[in-house]
Amino acid sequence: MAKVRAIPLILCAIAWTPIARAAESEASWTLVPKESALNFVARQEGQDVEGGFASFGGSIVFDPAKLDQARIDMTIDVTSVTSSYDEVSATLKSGDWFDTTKFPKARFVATKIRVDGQTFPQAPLKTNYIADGTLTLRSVSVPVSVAFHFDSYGSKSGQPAILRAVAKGKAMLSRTAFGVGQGEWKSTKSVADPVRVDFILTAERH
Amino acid sequence: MTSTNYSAVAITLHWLFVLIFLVMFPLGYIMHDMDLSPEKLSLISWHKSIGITALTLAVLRLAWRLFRRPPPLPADLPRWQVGVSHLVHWLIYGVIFAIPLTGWAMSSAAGIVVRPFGLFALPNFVPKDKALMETFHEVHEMLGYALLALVAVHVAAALYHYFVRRDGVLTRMLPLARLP
Repeated sequence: MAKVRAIPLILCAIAWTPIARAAESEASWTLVPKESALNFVARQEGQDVEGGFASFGGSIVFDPAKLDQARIDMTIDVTSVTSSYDEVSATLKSGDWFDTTKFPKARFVATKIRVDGQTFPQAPLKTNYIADGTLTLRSVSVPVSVAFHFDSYGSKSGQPAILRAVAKGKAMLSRTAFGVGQGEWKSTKSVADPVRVDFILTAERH
Repeated sequence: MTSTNYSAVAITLHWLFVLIFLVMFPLGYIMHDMDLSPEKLSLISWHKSIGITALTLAVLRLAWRLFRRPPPLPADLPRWQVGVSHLVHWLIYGVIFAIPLTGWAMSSAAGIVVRPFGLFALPNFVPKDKALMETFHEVHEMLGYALLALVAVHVAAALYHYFVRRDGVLTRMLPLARLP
């Protein structure tokens, strides 16, 4: 009887070991929101119009030596959209654009991060990365590739136990692919279809 | 004879500014009250393009004024009227320069590059700052109304010269004044 009772325990122990190991080695980063920014640039009749999202967060698993394990899962609070003109911000929240009452969140999930060009596994500062993922906006999911590089990657000053990284990157999106801009805004004559997204993410890892 | 007439350059610039004012003041007023739409954005683009044209012409007008004095006012004009005339003219010169400049500053502070007629990009000469943009917006509007008031005084004075004093002060600025 004692043997039989022990079997589930052993099975449990076997089953949990790899997960525990994965969690231990998982390079999970914590975002520093105050030192991160998510902005976009749209073209309106040849003029660049800038905006951004004040609130976003999520999980980042990234180790330059273990890219196959990397994944990014970010959620953007679309209601936090900002621009220079209050009128533009209000319009962006309206039904024709982000429709934030219906779709308050956008999500970007990437499970594949690859190196663009030459690989420097031990020197993330020299490497250009591309995260292939899916962006869901207005409940429309579209594949999106995000290019990024590190501006800094190393021990936090004064706290050598903490790893600190600043990543900068961008992505080109088609606003119409997500249905952003309905009705009179659907035409790309006034506001062009391509929108550039720029970001700075500062994150720390213990 | 030349000293009693305005130069062709001054006359041309004067009437171009009349045209610009007649288009831009209502345009600014109408677009300000419109809800955001592609039409509104298109009107704003036109407003900016014409505004930068006005700024260029204002620079030309000021340069012309500095190097070429306007013809003298009638010698029998009361001194206070001469004073008011000079004051109003210099205020107009300043305002036609300041209105487009504050408009451009407003766009710069909003982080929106001005591209007159889509031809080329002007630099954003003030930092991107929302509060600054709102300040320039208010100053731009106030200057617009100030110009409206100055134009009212200017037109009233011109009509006074024509109908009451019956001198050549108005007619010498007419486009065909230089023809025989």
